[in-house]
Order: sequence, then structure tokens, then C-alpha cells
Amino acid sequence: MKFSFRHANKIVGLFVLVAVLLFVIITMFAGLNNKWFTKKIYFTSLFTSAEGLKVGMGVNLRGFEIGRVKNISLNEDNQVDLDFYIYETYHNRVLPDSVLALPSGLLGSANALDFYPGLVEGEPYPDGSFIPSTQTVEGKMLVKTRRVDRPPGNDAITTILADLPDILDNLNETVVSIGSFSATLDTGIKGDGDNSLSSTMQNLDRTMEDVNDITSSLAALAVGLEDPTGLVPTLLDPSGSLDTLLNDDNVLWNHILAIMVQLEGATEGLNTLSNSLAGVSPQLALTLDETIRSLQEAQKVMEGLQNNPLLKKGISEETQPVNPGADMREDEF
Amino acid sequence: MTSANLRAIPAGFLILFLALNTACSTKPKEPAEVYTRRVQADSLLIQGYNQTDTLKFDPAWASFNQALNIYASLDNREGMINALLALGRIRRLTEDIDSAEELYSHARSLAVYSEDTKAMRSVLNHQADLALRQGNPEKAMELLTDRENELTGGRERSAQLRLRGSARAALGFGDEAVALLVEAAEVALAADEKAAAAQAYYKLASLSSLGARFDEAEDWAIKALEADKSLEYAPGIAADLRALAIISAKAGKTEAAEDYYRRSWLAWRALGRSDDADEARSELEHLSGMQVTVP
Repeated sequence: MKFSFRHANKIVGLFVLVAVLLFVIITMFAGLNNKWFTKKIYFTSLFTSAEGLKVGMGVNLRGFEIGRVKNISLNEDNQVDLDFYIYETYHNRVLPDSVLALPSGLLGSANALDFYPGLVEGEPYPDGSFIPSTQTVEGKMLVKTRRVDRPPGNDAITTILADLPDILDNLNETVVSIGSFSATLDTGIKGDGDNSLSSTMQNLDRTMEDVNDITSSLAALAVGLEDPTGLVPTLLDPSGSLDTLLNDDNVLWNHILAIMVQLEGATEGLNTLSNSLAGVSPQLALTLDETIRSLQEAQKVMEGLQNNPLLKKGISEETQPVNPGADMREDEF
Repeated sequence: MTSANLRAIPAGFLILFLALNTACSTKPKEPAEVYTRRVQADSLLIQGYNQTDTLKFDPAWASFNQALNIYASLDNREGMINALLALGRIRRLTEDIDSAEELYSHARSLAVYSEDTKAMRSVLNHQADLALRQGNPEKAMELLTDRENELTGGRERSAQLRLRGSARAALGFGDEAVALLVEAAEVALAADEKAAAAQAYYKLASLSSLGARFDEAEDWAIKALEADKSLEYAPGIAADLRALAIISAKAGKTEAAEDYYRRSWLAWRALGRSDDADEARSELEHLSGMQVTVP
């Protein structure tokens, strides 16, 4: 008993010291983790609605948090002013033409804003600068004209909707340019003769028909995707499910797969053609290469659509293909 | 507590640990990318089967071919075998027998290599079917008795029995054929494989009809129709209705035959199989003695 009385003060003091030290260390770690001691560069932005925006939400660049939202307020023009900051470490990414975007998550509101740095080389924007959001015309134009570094989206449907029109335009342009170029070629190589070049041109005609078919298929699909009663709203509607969508004899699913098959076939055909034409006409080969690239992009988009997690959910593990056997009910009676 | 009892405690813990470990360990999940690609290939395979059912052979070929490429990239042998068999079936249906044989042969090599009993049975069944359609029931029997009892149940076993029934019927052993086909249907139903049961009933209806046992044939065909209806398998329903129409016509039941022909005509039309639809329609017109129009 004497021992405890003699050292009680020291023991209590030690505990208090340890507690204080722990508190300081934890506070320091918390501060470091939350970047309390990091210098911040402040910017402003403009949104049309505060829906989905929160004070304190992160500003992400390719998944890395590079800043946070500081303040949200309704301005005199009924627009939403947003103040945010970027950590000094990432200030060099805030280049001219940069854009702020609120991802439209299919499964609810997003947790962070996306930051797309501008592709222009130059000095980063200074403190207090305005960064347009994709909800403004300026921001939309920057994205549309591909002046920002925008990674492939996590939200497949949104990416598809964003990319499909561009791809269709590219396809149409390249198809038209192939058509006009081939029209200017000498009649001897237009397919009238019987030499190898004429047969190549005939092949080209056929392939162009294929590409045109695909373009119109994709256009039809794009219309379907943008239809207010179509695929995307069904996906976005929490009461709607892919089961409902795919219950229509998998029409859409088969359509997507069919387009993919067509795309692969046409790309292969064009690759072969492009190789065989390279020696004959570099210009035509170049144009074909553009078409191939467009087709490959289209294929990626279709794969994106196909691999969308919600679509995948619609095709459950249980729908294993069942080999029907060789019989086709061809028996006599 | 004795030392023997004490020694039993760690042994008991070890057994418990092993049991828990076994219970908790599951088959490792396939990576997301592989899953996605496999689902894509599976979808293409299903699509190809549907296209084959509606006789769209070129698109079906493209679907199966693409599925095969994906399965090959994933080294999924079961998928590759199914795709090769499906491609072979298209060649058989388009009467390119050499190509069909070659594709079946590729599938067989894969099945041997992968030591997959079910896949092997499936390949042998397809090869036997081809032999039967080439008018060679002896060869079909050889294929069907090869690895005869490796499978005791399921869809492939049912198909094996059904094909054996067909082969025996072609060799003139009608009673044995019927017994085999009935067994095929029973095996299919035991495995809840209604599609395989419907195929067996359909074959039984055919044999009975060819033997002029029309009431019996009608019963089998109705059973086939019921099975196909429960699966909502449209090509099967259309074929069953056609079978019932022919059987009814042969049995002198003109009114019933007309009804069945009309239904099969509409079913074929809905499936887009215009040749079959036209055939049913002309039979209907022949029976009724008047032109029929779309209702």
C-alpha cells in the first residue's frame, strides 16, 4: 500500500502525459490526412442546380482527391455559385480550359465532383479564377470540342450517350469521304474492269454498304438511347429494372450484340482492304484507316453498353446457354 | 483427465478447423473481365441458337463464330465445344456435310483433351445424329454405344437414348426403339429437362404415325406440345402443331387437321419461317378446299 501512495502522482502524471501525447499525435495525423496544413488555392464555378452538390464533397481528378467544395450559394440570377479549393500540390493541373463536372451516377448522387484539366499547355489558373462546369454552355463546349482531359467515364451509359453522336458523325464523314474519293477515281478502276484493283473497288463498295448499315443501326440505337421513354430513363428509374427491359424477348440485347458482330466483321473487312489498298492509293488507305478507327471506337462504345453493370445484372448467371442438341424436329410423320 | 484425452483435444480442434475450412472455402470467383467476356460469349451462343431456330444461318454462323473466338481467348473449352457443335449443326442444316464432320471432329478432339464426360457425350450425340441423317444407323449405333454408360442421367443421356431409339428404329427394331425413346423421355423429365422430353415425345409420335398407330401418335404429339408450351419454345410448338396436323389428317380427322394446320401456319409465320408457313398454308388450303387469309 505504501508503494502506491508514494508513486501515485508520478503514475497519474505519466498517464496524463501519454494521453496528451496521443491526442497531439492523433490530431496531427487527422490534420495531415485532411490536409489541414496544406495550402489551398481557391476557385469558383457555376452550376444550374445545387442538386447533388454538397459542401465538403471532394473534387477528384481521375479518382484522386485534389480538392474540396468550400461553399455553395444561390446567386442573383438563380444560378448556383460554387466555391472550391484545390490543394497546392495539384495546382499545376488547373490549366486553362479546365472544367468541373458533376457525375450523374446511375445509382444515386455522386460523392465527388470530377475535375477535367484543360489540354492547353500553359500557366495554371491563379487563385480566385473561374472554372466552368459542364452545366454551363462554356463547359459543355470545352468537353464537346475535346479540349479537356476527360477519362473514360465510370458510368457507361453516360459515356455512351456522350460519345455515340461524335462517333456517328465521324463514321458518316469518313463514309462520305470514301464515297467522294472513290467517285473521282478513273473509270478503269471503278469496278467495271476485271483486274485486281477493280475487284478491290467492288469489295470496297460492299464494305461501304456494310458500314452504312452499321451507321444507320447505331443511329437507330442512339435515338433509342435518347428516347425519354427508352433505355436510359428505364435504367435511371429506381422502380425500373433491366429485367423489365430485357423481358421483351431480349430485343435490345440482341440488337446490341448484332451490331457488335457487324462492327467486328466490317472492321476486319476494312483492315484487309486497307492493307491491300495501301500500295495502290495511300490516300484511300488513310481514309479507310479513319473509318476503321471510328468503327473500333463504335465497337468500344457498344462494349461499354454491353458491359454496363446494370445490363450485366439483367443477364443473370443463370441464363447459361443450353446446347439444344443436333435435333431440329425434322422427322417424317 | 488422462493424457490420451488431452491428446484428443488438439486433434479435435484440427478436425474442426479442417471441417470449417472446407465448409467456408468456395470456388474462386472468376475475375470481372473474364466474367464479362464469358457472359458476352454465352449471349452470342444463345443468340445463335435462336437464329438457328429461325433458320437465319448466316447471322447464326457469325454469332457462333464470335462466341467461339471469345471462348478460345478465355480458354473456355466447354464453350468452345458448344460453339463448334453449333457451327457444325449449321453446316449440317445447310447440307455441307464435310464441314459439319470436320467441325464435330474438332469439338471431339477438344472434348477428349478436356476429359469432359458430358461434352464428350454431346459430341458423340451430334456425330450420331449426322450419321443417322446420312442414312448410316450402324455408324450412329457405334457412336452411341461408345462410352455408353458414362452418363446415367441428364439432357445428354436423354439425347443419347433418343438417338439410339432412332437408330434402332432405322435398323428395323421398332419395339426396342419405342422402349428407348420412352426411357429417354423419363430420363429427361427426371432431370427436369422438358426440352429433351419434348424431343423424345416428338420422335415417338413420328414412329407411331409411320406405323399407322395414329391415336398413339396423337397422344405423344400432344405430350410434346404440352412440354414445349410449358417452356414457351415457339419452334417446338410450331413443329408439334404440324405433327398433329399430319397425324390428324392421316387419321381422317379433317376438322382437327385443319385447326392444327392453321395454328402451325400462324406459329411459323410468327417465327419468320416463311417456307414452313407456306407449306402449312397450302396443306390447309388443300384440306379445306378454299383459300385462307391471315386472320
